[in-house]
Order: sequence, then structure tokens, then C-alpha cells
Amino acid sequence: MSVGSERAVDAAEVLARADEVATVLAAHARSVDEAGAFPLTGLEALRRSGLMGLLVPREYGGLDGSCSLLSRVAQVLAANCLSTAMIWGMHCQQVAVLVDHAGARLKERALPAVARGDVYIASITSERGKGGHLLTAFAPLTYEDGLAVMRREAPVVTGGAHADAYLTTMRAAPDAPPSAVKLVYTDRSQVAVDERSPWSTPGMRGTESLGISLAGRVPEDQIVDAERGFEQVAVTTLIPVGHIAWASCWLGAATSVYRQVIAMLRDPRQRREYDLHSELFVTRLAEIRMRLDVAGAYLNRVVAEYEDARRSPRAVEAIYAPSFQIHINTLKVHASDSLFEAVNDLMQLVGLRHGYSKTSPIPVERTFRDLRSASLMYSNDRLLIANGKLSLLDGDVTLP
Amino acid sequence: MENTEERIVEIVSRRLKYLRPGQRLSLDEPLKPLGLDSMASIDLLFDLEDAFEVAVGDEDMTEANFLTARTLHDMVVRLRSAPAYGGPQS
Repeated sequence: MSVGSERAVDAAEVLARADEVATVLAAHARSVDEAGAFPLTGLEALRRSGLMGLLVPREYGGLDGSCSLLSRVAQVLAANCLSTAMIWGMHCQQVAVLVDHAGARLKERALPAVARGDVYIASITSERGKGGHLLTAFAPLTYEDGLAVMRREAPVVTGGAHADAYLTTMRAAPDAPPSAVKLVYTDRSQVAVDERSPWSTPGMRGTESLGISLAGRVPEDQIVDAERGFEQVAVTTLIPVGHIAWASCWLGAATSVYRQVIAMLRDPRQRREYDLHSELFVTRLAEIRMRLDVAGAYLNRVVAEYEDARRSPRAVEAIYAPSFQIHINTLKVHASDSLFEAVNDLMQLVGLRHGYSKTSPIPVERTFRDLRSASLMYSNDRLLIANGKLSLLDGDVTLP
Repeated sequence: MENTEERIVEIVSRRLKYLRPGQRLSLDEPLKPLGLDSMASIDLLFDLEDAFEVAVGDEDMTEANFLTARTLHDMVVRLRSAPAYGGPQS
């Protein structure tokens, strides 16, 4: 992931590619949602576009994009299909982890294939019984003949049945504590993958986040690590890039339906059932707009803060700072709550026919169902507990 | 045409809070001093769109078009003669 000002491909070119992919996503979003089917056509368009390698450095054939470009592309994609955008965003999150923390040999093997669009990487962090705690793992690695042996079950894996590779959290060894986590990169060809449980949800249906089990053995150089272990991988890359990608997706989706409602209200033929002179009506419109503006401003601010921290000579310390941890967590909590509320309010504003009905040309109800998942993914409750404790360590109350 | 002018004068007059009771708005009287501020212009925009079944695009939301009843009239006539009655331009 680039943090400098030079880019292999300029932002306008990348966004033009995103616009092209977006037309494919728009055409399939409804059917993907109705069938609860993984968006294979959309993913294929992403593979061809080069955007799967957005964060891959130029030396490995990627677009060398920055985190702020990731955020902008995610918004464009999510404006058309939130499921596909989230699949892509989480793939980019895995790519960022490889770029920041993988060893040279693994990078040389994996990143050119990612840049070519040949490899879509899924994330496996969920595990029964650990309550969504990212920094622990139960299933242990064992070692045989210089290979790491893994056997792992995961209840929720976005795109698990369709990924070409996985990044999986494992306990370091059978006698290690659950907090000793190793992150293992696995090619699909190195593991047997079985589907265990279906993904049947009201929203985010296209992510096909099945329960899967996976078993296989990989060379030890496929373990992705850092000086302070997996915690550093998570704190400096996995969590911030993930939260930025998610918040960007949610913002793109919520803004898109708002934009479509505004267009409807500006069309004299379509707005007849709404009273634009009603103060209640325009007040509600303003409150929704305010949620979008605040979420967008906070997102941009935290992206800039993250990029500044990454450029700092003491980058790890800057990202570990309680104030940055609070801000990145707040980004996720605020975006997930506020943007869901924005769409909920939008549904109230436009009513049954244009808001609640599946037959509306504006996908307010699909976006409502999709965004309901936002506070549940990497649960807000857990993040607020963390932020409360971190707040006690930031006596200066450093605002973003 | 005259009928359109009269209707526009009537519609615009309703949005002019400083127009005195009984005062007749002339076609060329500047609207801003009579109370057509930016908020009133938005209300007026919707009034005109609904009354004349035109869509006023963002590019027409200009001070020049909202200067007088006559400039508004010219805008409405131009939009009505547009080939299709489409939605707002973006």
C-alpha cells in the first residue's frame, strides 16, 4: 500500500476503472441479493479491471494505490452493490496485510498473482466460542516435516467457497495460549475446503459468508508475522484498513440511495406524492444529509490520520497510540450506526412504495437490510468497551 | 404567452414576503429586494416546475434566471419548448 505521493496509476484512471466495474455491479445487484448468490460476474469484472491489485506495490505489478484511493473506489463500488464492494474491500484488507507484513518469498509468490486478478483472498478470523475476538485463536498449528499443519473451522467466511487463497488466524501451537496467534496464508490448492453451514440472512446476501472448514499443510514461510506478533499485524494494518474499507462501503451505499432519492424529488413527475414545502419533510432530508456529511468527513479525516501515521518515522508507535486506536474504532462504530440510521430515516421519508417495497427502482430497502449488518460485523459493543478503556489512556483527549 | 406571464407573476408573488398587499408585481421588477432570497428561490423552483411541468436543472438555478418575473418566464418558455420533459440534469 502506497503512502507516498507518487502513484503507478493516477487516481482518475483508477476511478474510471471503478466506474466501469460499477456498471456491471449495478446490473447484477438485484439478482445477487435475491438469489443470495456470490457475485461471480462482478468479481470477474474486478479481476479484469486490475482493481484486485489496487494496493499491490508497483514492483509486483499492482496499482500501488493509497488507502484514500481504496476508500474512494470502495464508495464507487458500494454505490452499486454493497455485497460486491465489501467482498472487494475485505480482499484489499488481506492484500494490505501481505504488503505490510509478508516475508519476501511469500510476497514474490502471491502479490503478482493478486495484481493480475488471478487471486481473490478471503479472510478467516471467526471461530466458535471466542466471541468475535480477533486477537485470539483456538485451533492450533502443528508442524510436520517443515510444514505447518492446519485444521480449522470458521462459522462466517465471506466468499469462503469462491476464494483462491485465505489468510487464517491460528493458535501458534497446541500448548500455546489462545493469544499466541499466527496468521497463515494458504493457496486454495494447499487446503481441502468444505462448506459447513449456509449463509441465510436478510442482508449482505451476496457475500455468501458460509461456515467452512479447511485442512491442509503449508510451508512455514506462508506464516505472516511482525515483530510484536499478530497483534501488530492487526493493530497496524488489518484493523485500520478493514474499518476504512467497511466505512467507505457503507458510506458509498447510503449516499447512493440518498442521491437517487434527491433525483426523484427533483423530478416533477415523480415527486407528486411528496410535499417539498413541508418543513418536517425537508428537516428530515437535512438530518439524513447531515449524517452522510459527518460520516464522510470523519472517514476522510481518519484516512488522512492513518496515512500520516504510516509516513511517520515511528509509524508503529503512532498507530498504536490510544488516540489513533480510538479514532479508528470510532470510525467503524459511528459509520455503522449513523449510516444505518440515515437509510432507516430515508425509508421513513419516502414511505412504503419508494422506501419499503422491493419493487422500488431505488434500492432503499436492500440497502437498509444490508446496512443492518454493519453494527454486527466486528461488533460495536466490543469496540465501545475497547474505546472506553483506551479513553482512560488518552488524558489529553486528542481529537482527530 | 400572456397567460404564462400572468401565471408566473401570480406564482412568484406568493413567494415575495416584502411585496405589499395589493401591490402588483411588474415583469421587470427585481425580485431579490422583494424577498426572493435563496431559500425562497428553491420553493419557487418547485412551484414553477409543478405549475408548468418543466424540470429546472441545476444549471438553470442561476441569479440571472431568478432576477425578475420576465427572466423566469423566459426560462420556463425555453424549458417548455425543450424536446422532452425529462428529469433534472445533473
